[in-house]
Amino acid sequence: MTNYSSKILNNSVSGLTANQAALATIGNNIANVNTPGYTRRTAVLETRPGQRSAGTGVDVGSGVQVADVSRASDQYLEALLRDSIGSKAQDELKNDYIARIDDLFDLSGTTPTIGSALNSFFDSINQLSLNPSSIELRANVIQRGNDLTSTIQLTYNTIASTQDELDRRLTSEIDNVNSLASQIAELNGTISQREAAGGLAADQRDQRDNLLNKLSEKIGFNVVEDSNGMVNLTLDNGFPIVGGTNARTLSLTGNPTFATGTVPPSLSGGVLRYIVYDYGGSEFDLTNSLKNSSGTIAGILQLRGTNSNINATSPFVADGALVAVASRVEAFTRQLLTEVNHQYLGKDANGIEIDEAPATTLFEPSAVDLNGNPAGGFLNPFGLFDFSSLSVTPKDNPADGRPTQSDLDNVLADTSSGITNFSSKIVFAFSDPTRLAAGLDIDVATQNSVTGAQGDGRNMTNFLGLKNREVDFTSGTFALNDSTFSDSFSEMVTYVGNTTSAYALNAKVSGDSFTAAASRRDEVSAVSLDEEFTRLIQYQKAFQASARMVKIADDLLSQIVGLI
Amino acid sequence: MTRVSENQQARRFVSQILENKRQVNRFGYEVSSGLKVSQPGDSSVSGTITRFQQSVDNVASYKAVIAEAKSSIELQDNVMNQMNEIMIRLKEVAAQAANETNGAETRAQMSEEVFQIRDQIAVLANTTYHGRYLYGGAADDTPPYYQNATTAYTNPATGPESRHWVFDAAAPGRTVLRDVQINDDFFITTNTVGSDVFSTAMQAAETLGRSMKGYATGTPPAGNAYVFPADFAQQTLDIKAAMDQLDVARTTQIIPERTELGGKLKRIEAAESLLELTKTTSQEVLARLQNADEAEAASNLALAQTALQASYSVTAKILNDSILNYI
Repeated sequence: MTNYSSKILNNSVSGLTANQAALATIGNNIANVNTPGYTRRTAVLETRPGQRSAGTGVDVGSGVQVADVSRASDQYLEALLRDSIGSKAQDELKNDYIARIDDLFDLSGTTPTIGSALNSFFDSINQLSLNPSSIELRANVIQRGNDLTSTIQLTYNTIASTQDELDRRLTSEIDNVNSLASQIAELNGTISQREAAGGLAADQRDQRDNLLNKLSEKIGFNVVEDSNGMVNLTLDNGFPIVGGTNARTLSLTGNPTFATGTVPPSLSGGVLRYIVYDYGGSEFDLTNSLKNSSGTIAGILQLRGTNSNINATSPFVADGALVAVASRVEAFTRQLLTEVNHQYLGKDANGIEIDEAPATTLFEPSAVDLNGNPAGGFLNPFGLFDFSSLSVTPKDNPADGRPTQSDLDNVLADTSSGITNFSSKIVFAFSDPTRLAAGLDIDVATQNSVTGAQGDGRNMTNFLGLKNREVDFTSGTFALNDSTFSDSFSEMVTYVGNTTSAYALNAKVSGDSFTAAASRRDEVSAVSLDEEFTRLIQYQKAFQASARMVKIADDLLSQIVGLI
Repeated sequence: MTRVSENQQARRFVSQILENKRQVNRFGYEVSSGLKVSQPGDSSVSGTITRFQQSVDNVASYKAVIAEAKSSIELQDNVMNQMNEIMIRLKEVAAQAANETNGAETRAQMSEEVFQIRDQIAVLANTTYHGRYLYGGAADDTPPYYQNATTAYTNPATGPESRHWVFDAAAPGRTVLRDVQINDDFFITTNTVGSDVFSTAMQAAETLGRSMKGYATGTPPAGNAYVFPADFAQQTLDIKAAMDQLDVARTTQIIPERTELGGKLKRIEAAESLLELTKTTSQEVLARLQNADEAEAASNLALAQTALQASYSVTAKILNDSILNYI
């Protein structure tokens, strides 16, 4: 006779165990409903492999066992989610920082801007032309000139310090990347060991996916899982960040080995650092490929700017919105130092630029000031507007007696001057109201002689012609030709406005994409309490039924024993 | 969507609430500041806004200059009025003196008034405005007309009849005119060279006075005394010549200057109305581009607040409902 009694018991007990395991899994899911990156688990039940009973009995089955606990995870959706995390982080960072530049060009009239300061300056000149000997009006011109230069300095310095701040932020971002990469590498080892012994290392895989998401916030990368359960992470250019249990460490340097000589300066005169991998002596440049991927580091590099020409000497040839705005400010400053100074120092009656007209036909500003002394000189200072420096001599180089763009270029080219831009250094050259030359020489005969008239305001009246004069604004790669000063400011405002709204729109779109991608991933992987509780009831019932079976089996056995 | 998990719901609701809060914030700012566009990122036409703002600023600047220029020109007009009165009075006196029923002594007595009027002309020519000489050209810190012992007649050596007023042409900038800009590419000259207005009148007054007093007039220090009764007829002729010179002064200097000043005032008025029009137009455009429509902003704010409240209440309702309430 075949004895099936043990089978009854064993099969029921297996039901208890398996359903308990399923309940435990459900309990785990419920406990982790709010754990970030958790993937819901399901106990996979399968029938236990049959063993023929002793004798010639039939196979009545051997119960149930838990084959494995599976994770509901779709690799494609996880990759989509990582991409959207990267885009969102990148666009939100750019949106946050560009708001600071937007603030510099207030349109409500409550804070001064370069445009409003320029208007005030022209207004003060206009008032002075009517009453050139008035000390109050002259002092007003000096005040407005100072307001203009300090607004320019403030605008430029804010942009430059934003660039510096972004560069400094790279340090903590790269540290994060390195730490996340090494944690991922370590988990690779753990997962591969656990899974070699059999079974899915679900918790560790969840942890690893979580770390991959965090890393996506910083950089964009490709993930390939090998047959050992380890993931290999590579950048778009193929550079491996994590290979098996090895993680590569990235570093930042302002003095990379692949630069011959000094690297291009930042807007503030400092350095924009490079992200490199050190091969033990020689460095591999990762900056450009990281800039073109995604994540906060891409956002930082895109906004901060990177130099495609490592031998450039100007901070204005880097790319990025910050440099673009700073270039516009610099172009404006350069015209203040040249065109505006030219006008103050005199043009001929036809308005021809000084370097084109023969010197003898010039009407120079009157060579006397209000006190009857020789008026505020030329090269020291540069004119109405000057740039402060400790060690630049001579400023007029090539020496032609007037301020030109070549003079400015030569100052920049002279590395010992320590000057990389003029916008942070521009000052109004006069502090003594009596020294402004408001008048011109009385006539050609008295040119360059030390005579003038106190009530002569013709130099100031002529000055107003600058408002409508068209000049070329250039700096670095920025060029705006045949524009007035107010055109140049309008263009600056338009650029800032367009960039800010584009970044804001991108941030919104990425935010929405992230929400959509997260939802799609959650559709598959997140815990639904409704679902879990319903399944709970299902397995609970199965458990109760199995328990009942155990009791029945026990009764049967007792009856058999009772027979003896 | 085949499965909806708690995570998804929570995320969706949170992001909707945040978005609604952003809208409330934005419209709240519009209502309280009255501005729809306060920074370049708020609008695609921010460049245009700055241009119109500059236009409005320019108008204010030009208006201030116009106010100054206008008051200076009005003062000059006043001076010319007085000069006109003076010419009329001098003509009357001269006509009386020319009448030969008045003897040399009567003429000499009447000349006192003429000399006073002549000195009045000098005072008018040296009018100051804000402490600067109105007719001094660019050299407005020194008076355009002066007289002293060097310039005086020697015959006689003392008395008002010996004074000779001279236009100080040597001062650098004396003849430089002042142009001011009262609108884009629109200038007016705000002053006149003193000698262009007063020289003939001054000369006429001097000649008249001296003739009536009994002295011929030439280039100082020349000018001999008449000998009466032989020179009586000559005196009459000299007085009549001075009367003609008074007419010349009126017709070639004073009246043209008055006309010129009238024209300047008209041009200033034209510039002013153009500026006012520019300002109004610019402000209208700015208001359209930049200002929030109060009614629209207020109703948008109300809508946004309603939406926010709705999203709060929906969130609470839906997130509270779960299977746990039923088992």
